[in-house]
Amino acid sequence: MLRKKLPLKNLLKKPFRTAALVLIAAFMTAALFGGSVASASLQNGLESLEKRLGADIIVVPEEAEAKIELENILLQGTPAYFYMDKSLRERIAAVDGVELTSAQYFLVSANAECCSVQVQIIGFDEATDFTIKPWLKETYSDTLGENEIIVGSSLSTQVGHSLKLYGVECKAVGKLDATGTGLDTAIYTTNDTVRTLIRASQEKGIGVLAKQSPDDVISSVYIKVKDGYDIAEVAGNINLTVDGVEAVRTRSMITDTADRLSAISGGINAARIAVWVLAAVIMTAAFSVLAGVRRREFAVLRTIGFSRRQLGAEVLSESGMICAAGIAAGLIVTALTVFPFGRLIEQRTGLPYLSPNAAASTGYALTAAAAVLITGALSSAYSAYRLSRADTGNILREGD
Amino acid sequence: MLIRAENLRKSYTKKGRSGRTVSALRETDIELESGRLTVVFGRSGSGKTTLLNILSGLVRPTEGRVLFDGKDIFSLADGELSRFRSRNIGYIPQGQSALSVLTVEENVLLPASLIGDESAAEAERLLDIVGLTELRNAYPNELSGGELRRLAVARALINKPAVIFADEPTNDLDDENTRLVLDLLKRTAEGGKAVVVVTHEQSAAAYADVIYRMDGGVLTEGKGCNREIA
Repeated sequence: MLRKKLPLKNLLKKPFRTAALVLIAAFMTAALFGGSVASASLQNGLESLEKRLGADIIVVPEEAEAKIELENILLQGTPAYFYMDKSLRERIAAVDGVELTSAQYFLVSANAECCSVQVQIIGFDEATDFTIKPWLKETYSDTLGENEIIVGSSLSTQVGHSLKLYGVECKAVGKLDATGTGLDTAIYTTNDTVRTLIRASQEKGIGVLAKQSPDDVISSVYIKVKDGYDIAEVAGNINLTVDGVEAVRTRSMITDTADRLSAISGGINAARIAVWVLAAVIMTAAFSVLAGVRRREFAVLRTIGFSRRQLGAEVLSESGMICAAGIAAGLIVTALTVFPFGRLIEQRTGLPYLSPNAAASTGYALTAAAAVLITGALSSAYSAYRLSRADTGNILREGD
Repeated sequence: MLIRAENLRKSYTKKGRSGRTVSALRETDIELESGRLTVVFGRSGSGKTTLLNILSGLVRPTEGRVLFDGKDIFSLADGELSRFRSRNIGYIPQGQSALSVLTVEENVLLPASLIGDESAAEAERLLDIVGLTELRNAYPNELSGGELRRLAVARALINKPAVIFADEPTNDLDDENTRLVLDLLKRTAEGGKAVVVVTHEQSAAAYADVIYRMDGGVLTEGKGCNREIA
């Protein structure tokens, strides 16, 4: 029916005017949807990091850089290594209130087949581990065999496939869930395999870390505190009684990150609201100006037999179509930028970043779409009212 | 269809600080019959367009009523009145009134879409009558002033209304186009419709069955020779 096609024809015959309004709607959608996704991704990353660390306290060597380097490994995936004497684990375990301890050994690979950059290799003790295996996405039935590894979610290596580390063929038997942290780019294996890798590196003349075998040193100890004990107190006791280590409450390590995240989220929200308000003002002004320009056109429609309601519907249909096109463009642009570039955002912000799942993302998209549609409808509502109530007789006379 | 207006009055309150009330139409009665071309002459600002807009249901009178076969059109709600208008009233506005985003044929068909009866054959027949068949796919910006006015006539006729109102239909047209448009309106009246034309075009008198003169909001029926009255 021609009347139903009229809004679309109006939009198509005025391409520049339409494109400008679609652009505003797209910008608003991108800001609302992109802002929501980015904000949620940072929040997810932090929550995931907290859960993923799985320990109440992490102990690292006392040297000044160790704690910073651990944060870099966790948050940005920057490979690093630092060591302390292996015997410290037993002393830490003996501190009152410590329930579980699990030591990890950090090694940095040469460029592996899987990756264009160096990756973090983490040797862990399967017998005592309580922080890695709970996050296995694709699990294996037995313990890790010789030269078997578990890979982080961001690595391209699939379960069942192999990759070469220092020329040693290592088979991936498990893959961890995504955390949005640096742990997603790490490779996990047993200390036996770590020893094999070190030997291989020596044979190849790379000689990495030759004097610091997992037989002698560890990089960190993850601690679970017994129920009823104060975590801060246990950490303090470790620092007091065990020389050469720094015990850090996992939560306190995350506090800095949480603070930065809170600031960035606040900035994102402020920008999102600013764009929303600005776009709403621009749209209202644009529709208002158009209402003035199109007074005669609507007066003619009235003489033909359009009711006030039909005139209002005409304006609202046009604004709805503009918003729909803007929403589609905004969602596509956001999906093509925010999701694929999550890793880049993570590196730039130095914060854990874990994109929301499909259901949550759909929810954010629908919310943004609804907000843009409602904003568009409200922006054009006044113009629709003005045009539908205008004095047709006067307008037709004004034109001549 | 018999159209009768009784005791029509229209006054406006002027915008601005004065808030002065202006009487655009003083107490007026008029009767329009099918098959007759009624011409209302008057100077600019005399109130003739106001009368036309009230008779066509576009503007609500301050007092009085307009009866179409005894039915007061201003007793209808806006939606009902609009439906009634699209079915029964054809309106030719002053000046250029084609929608620029529609082709000539689509412009003619637009009123038909309001009543759900888009007949391409009827549009074609009307375009043939007004001499725009060749231009059916053209856009209004490709048409001359006379062609646009003929397009407005075809659009007003598409729903086969009982009455046609034309506001200065020959304004700014050359003699040839003025004659063409008035011929069309005369033939429309002869086809059984009530046609009302408000104009200051003297030559319209020759086509009129009934002539009125509007002056300062007062309508008077002309008597005697048409040309003298005009």
